This record gives sequence, structure tokens and C-alpha cells, in this order.
Amino acid sequence: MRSTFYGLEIARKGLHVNQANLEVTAHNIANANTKGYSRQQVIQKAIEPGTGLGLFTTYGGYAVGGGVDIQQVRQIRDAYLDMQYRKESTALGEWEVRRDMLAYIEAIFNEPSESGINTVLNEFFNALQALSLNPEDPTTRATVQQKALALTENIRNVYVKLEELQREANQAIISYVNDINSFAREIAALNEQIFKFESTGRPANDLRDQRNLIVDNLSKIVQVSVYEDASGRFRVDIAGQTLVSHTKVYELDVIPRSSSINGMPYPKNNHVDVDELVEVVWKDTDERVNITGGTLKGFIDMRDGIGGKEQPLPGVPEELLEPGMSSGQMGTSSANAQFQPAPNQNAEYGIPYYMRMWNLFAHTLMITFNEIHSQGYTLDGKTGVYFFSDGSANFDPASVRQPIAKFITISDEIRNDWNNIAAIYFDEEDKLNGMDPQNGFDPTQAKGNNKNILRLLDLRHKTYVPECDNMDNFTKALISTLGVASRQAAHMADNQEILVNEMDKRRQSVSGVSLDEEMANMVRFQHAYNASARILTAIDEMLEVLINRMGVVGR
Amino acid sequence: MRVTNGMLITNMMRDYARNMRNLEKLQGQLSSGKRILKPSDDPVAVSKSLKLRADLAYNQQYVSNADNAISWLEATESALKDLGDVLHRARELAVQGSNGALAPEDRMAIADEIEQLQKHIVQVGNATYAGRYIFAGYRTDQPAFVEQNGQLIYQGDGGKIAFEIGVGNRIEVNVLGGDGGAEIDKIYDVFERFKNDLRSGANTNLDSYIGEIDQRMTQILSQRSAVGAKVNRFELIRARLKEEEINFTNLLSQNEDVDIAEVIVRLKEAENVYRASLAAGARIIMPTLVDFLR
Repeated sequence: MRSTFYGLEIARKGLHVNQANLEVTAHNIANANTKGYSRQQVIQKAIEPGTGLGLFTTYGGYAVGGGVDIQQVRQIRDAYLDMQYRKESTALGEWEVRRDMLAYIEAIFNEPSESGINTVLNEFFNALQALSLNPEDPTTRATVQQKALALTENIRNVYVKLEELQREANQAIISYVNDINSFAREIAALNEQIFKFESTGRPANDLRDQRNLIVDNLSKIVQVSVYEDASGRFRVDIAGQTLVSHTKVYELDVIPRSSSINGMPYPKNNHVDVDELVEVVWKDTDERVNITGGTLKGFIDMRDGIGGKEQPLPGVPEELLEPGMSSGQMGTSSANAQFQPAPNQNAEYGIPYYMRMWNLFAHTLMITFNEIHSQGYTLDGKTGVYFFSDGSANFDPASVRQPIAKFITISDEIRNDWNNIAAIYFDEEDKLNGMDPQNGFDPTQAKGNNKNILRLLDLRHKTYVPECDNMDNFTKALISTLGVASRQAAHMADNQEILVNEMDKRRQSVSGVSLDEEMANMVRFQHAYNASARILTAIDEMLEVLINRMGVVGR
Repeated sequence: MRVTNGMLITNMMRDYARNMRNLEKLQGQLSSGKRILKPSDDPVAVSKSLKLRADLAYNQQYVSNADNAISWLEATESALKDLGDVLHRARELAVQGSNGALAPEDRMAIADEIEQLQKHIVQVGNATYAGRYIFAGYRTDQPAFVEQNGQLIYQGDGGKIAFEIGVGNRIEVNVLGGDGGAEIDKIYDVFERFKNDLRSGANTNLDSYIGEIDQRMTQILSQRSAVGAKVNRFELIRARLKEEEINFTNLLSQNEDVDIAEVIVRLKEAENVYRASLAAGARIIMPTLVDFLR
């Protein structure tokens, strides 16, 4: 025999479930603009007819169900899309950094422009040309002196800015390592909360959203993989090692690199590197973290990448050429070494590459120019005067201060007296004509001689600058390498952005809140709620008849 | 695919931002007049631009070098012309002087004129261009010649000064005053002897001076024609450099300047797209079911 009030119970359940549905709808609408929010849905289920005691079968075999019940409030989310999104986001983070850093390097070189290296070099050589027309003239000498100052200033300025950029990249690495650690700690804290909450049997939807959002953010910085075991323990791996294991965090740390290996586990990567650079390590073990993607990888590549290497060259110190070698490993350079460009195709052309090229250029300019210049004679008949110097008090061409691009300037002799520009040189023909200072000829007797200037002018086309052919092609080669790299990075970042957007769209398509949908649901649940209430009143009326109107005959 | 409000808004924002970037880029091109502003805009074109700029810078300097060379050579040419004129007059006088029927006073007068010519050639020999002695070899800072005891002493040397008017292309511009050059000291010497013979009357055979003067004239003429040829060469080179300058400037402009008409059309187009995206956004994002439910 079924209970008189059973229908009331069914109606009550209908009210309850539809009310819950309306609340979840309200929650969805309220969070329509919440970042990382996944829409939620009440999973409801009809209560089956109780068959255990054969209660309902007694009425001619009809089975009547017991109403409705909430199974769970589920969030709509696709873990596969999350994974895809994070994968693309990692690549985007990496390319965005490259794009931005290379754009910055482009700004440093400032080409094509009226003030870039190309222009100052042109102006310097043109001043020399003018001097060759009139080697005794103090104004043309002054021009050469000033243009040389502008040239060396430009070289130093660019180099110092590159060093600054390397330092900034390093600083970014340190702050991203801090970000990773704090994200890891947040994830561990959330893991604990979620685990506790869900041990009651209910899903911690909103906490999971928060955690997912943090993992999304983390995925842009570094490549992540996440795992969740059956009991709800959550693990985050980066670089193939565990960063967060449930509530335990394995933090990262940074260790300064050093040029001397003594007591320092990590040596400098490149000879041109500034001093403060750090290695990213696991805090517990001091072991290097093998970063494979994301913003962090972008910064590390830009900070450390050196690009191609080449064979030793006469007159160029090996440390300018061979990256990643400690001094103990350095061989002796052979004077007749044939240049064989052997660029490493997979190498990353980062800031050190441009620093190194700049050094090669400055070094070649200084050495070759000085060599020719010192063979000539000044207006006062002096010889052996160097044109450029490394700015040290006693300039010694045998041990040039490195990185030279940071220090190159004109020598004190040229700075103090432009008469010390050595325009005069005696070739074989002149010597046959009796003009040989080694045989007592007074070079001041040949003030109109411009042969040394002509020899200096030759340097522009004849001097070999590693990787760039000659001095004249240097800027072109460097700028086009930079342009190509920057353009590629910009394209890759653009493409990656499209992919990330696409994945984001797909995720939103699944998890995003549609106001139309919520409104339609609201109408649905509202009506169902109203109808349940109506059933309640219907039963009420029925009971009213049963209880108050029955058995009153003859009263 | 299920479409949500968030997607619509995100899409609209993205499109809006992209259209804005497009506008910004076109606006930048239009206001600067340049198609390429940084190497990554077009690495190949930038590299070409750098080469053209360097070529132009060279070119301008070489034009200036050629101008200088031409002026220097013209100063030399005019000096050589003066010398030629002087020799001409001296030859006339020599012809006159070799005429035996000359009275002693006439001989003296001729000798006086020769002395004047002699003084003139010293001046010509010490001709300067921009303050530099053109006949002195490397010793451009001191007079090429000094007179000493009836002799003209060449103080210059054998230095040959070349100007560069192309990569590795150098042309000597100076003519030496002494041996192998204009040999002005020898002209002086001829005049000196001629003058003295006229005055002393010792040598009546003045015919030999005609030959000597002719010999000097030939030397000067050959120097003059060499200088003339050089001026010619410099002028040709200068004309070519000027033409190249126009070509390079054109190429540079083609390479890096914008086609204003094209950019304006594209700007207009981008503006339309931008407006359309705003209008579409305004229409799509506003209404939801919320607006239609009472």
C-alpha cells in the first residue's frame, strides 16, 4: 500500500531539484565573465520505482517512480582541449619572447636610419676620402677625428645596450623562476583544499577552475604535463621532472654562472656573456633544469644563444670565435688558417651572437686599421702611432682589452692632436725616388703625401671580417641575419597566437557560459518548478477533499 | 560548434585589435613615406637599402673627389697654358734675336722681355691650388721653385698624388715641376742663357735657342695633353657617377618608399573593415535572450 503523502514527496523533490538547477544557472550567469570558469550543470536522475518489497507492483503491475534527485553538479570541461591549449600556449610564450627581444635588438642597431652603424661608417670613410684630397688641411683632419669618435661611440653604445639587454633577459629568467615557484605553491595549496573537499564526495568545481587557470598560466612560462590519479592526487611536471606532487613542491632556484670553475658548478656559456648570468636549477639538488619550452626557454635562448662558429683566424683572438670554451681548452690559432664557415644550423642566434659579431667587427677594425695607420707618418714625421685604442692608459695591441666593442675609442695621440693622423706613407716607387725615412729621409718634407690614407681606404673592401666578408658588407650581413630572424620569430608568434586562439575558442565552446542557453534553461527550470508547485497544490486539493469533505453526509 | 557570448566578445576584440594594428601600420607607412622601417619588415629589401645607401654615400664622395681633381687639374692646365704662351713669346723673340741685323739696344730690349718672362715662369711654377703648390710633388706646403744664382732650383720631389674616384680606382693628379714633369727649371735655364747671350753679345748664334725652346714647348704640350686627357677622364667619370647617383636614388626610393596612392587606397580599405567590424560587434554582442524575456 503506498503512502498517502508520497505524491507530495515527489513534488517536493521536483521543487528542490529545479531550484538547485536555477541556482546553478544563476552561478553560471554570475560567472559568465570569470576567467577560467567552466560552466556547471546539475546532473539529475529519476528515482526508480522501489521494487524491493514489491510495493508498487500490487496495483495491476504499474510501477511509479519516486521523483527526481541530484546526482552531482558537474563542470563541463574537456581535459584534452586543456592539454592542447597548454601545448600551444607554451610555444606561443617562447616565440613571443623571441619576437620581442629581436625587435628590441633591431631597435638597438637602428637600421636603416641616418644614425646607424652603416651611416657612421660611411661618414668616417668619406672623411678619410676628403683627407686624401687634402692631407695637410687641419679641418679635414678634424673631421676624420670627429667622425672616428662618432664611429667608436656608436660601436660602444650598441654593445653596452646589448649587454643591458642580456642582463634584462637574465632578470626576466630570475623573475619567471620566482613565478614558477609561486604558481607551484598555489597549486599545492589548491591540491590540498580540493582533496579535502572532494573527500566528502562532492566535486570542488570552482577550486578546480582556479587550479586549471594557474596551470594555464604556468604553461605559458614552461612546458607542463599534469597527471591526476584515481584518488584525486594531482601532479605537475616540468622539464620531465616533478614540480608539484600533490601537496609537495619541488622548487626551482638560480645559481650564478662563473668564469672560473673553482667551487662554482656552472661555468659561463660564452666569452661575451656579462657576469651576472644565472643557471636555473632544482633547489634540492642544484641540478640544471632542462627547460624545453615557454617564455622561460625564449629568454634563456635569447640570453645564451650564440649561433654559428668558425675556424680560427689570423689576428683575431680565439675567444672571440669559439663560444663555450674555457681558456684551458683553447688551442693556438694558426696564422694561415683557411676560413671555412661552419655555422651550426640548429644554433640559436641570441644576444651573444650579436655581441660576438660586434666584437669581431670592432676588433678587426681596430687591429687592421692600427696596423696600416702605424706604418704611416704623421704631419710631424712620427711613425708607429695607433689610430684606435681600447681606452686603457697604456694601449698594447698584443693584449687588447676584451670585449673590445665595449672599450674601443680613438687613441690619445689622435684625440689630442689631429696632426697625428698618419696620412704619409712611402711605397717602393717613392723609396726609389730617394724618399725612404729609413735612409734618413725626413718624412715631414712630404706633407702632400696621401698614400697611407689610400691604404686605409682599401681596408673597407679588403679587410676580411669573419662571417661577413668585408667591412663594407658587415652591416648588411648582420642586419639581414637579424631581420630574417626577427621576421621569422614574428611570424611564428603570429601563427602560434592563431593556434592558441583557436584552442581557446574550442575550450570556450565547451566550457564557456552562453547567456542564451542559461536563459532558456532558466525558463525551463522555472516552469518545471512552477509545475512541481502546481502538483503540490493539486495533491493538496485532493487531500482537502479526502480529509475535510468526506464522511460529512447528514452532518 | 556551440557558440558562447564570451567567444563572440573575444573574437570581436581580436578582430578589432588586428584591424587597429593594420591601420596603425598603414598610418606609419603614410606618415613616414617609408615602406620599411625596420629590418624585419623586409630583410632582403633592407639589406639592399643598406647597400644602396652605402653606394650613394660613396658616390657622393667620389663626385666630390672628381670635382677636386678636376679643379686641381684645371689649375695645372692653366699654369701649363701660361708656360706655353711664355714659350711662344720667347720663340718669337728668339726668331727676332737670331736676326743678325739687330741693334744692341734691340738685343737689350729682347733680353729685358726674356727676363720678365723668366720671372713669370717662376710665378707659374709656384702656382697653388687651395694653398697647395701643385708642381712640388709631395712638398705641397712649400714653393716648388726658388731662384738661386741664375738658376731655378726645384725643391719638390718625385711624389705622385693620386685621388680615388671609384673603389680601387685611383688616378694621379699632379704634374711634377722638375724632371719627368713640366721641367720648368729647364725653361728657366734656357731663358737664363738666352738672356745672358743677348746681353753679352758673346754668342751670336741664337738659332740654337729656337730648337731648345721648341724642345721645351713639346714637353709642356705633352704634359698639357696628358692633363687635358685626365680632365676628360675625370669629367666622364663624374658624369657617370652623377648618373649612377640618380639611378641609386631611384632604386632606393623604389626599394623603401611607399606608393602613396596604393597606401591611401589600402588605408581606406582597412578603415572600412575596421568600421564594419565595430558595427558587426555592436550588433552581435548586444542582444541575448535576456533582452527578449519578460
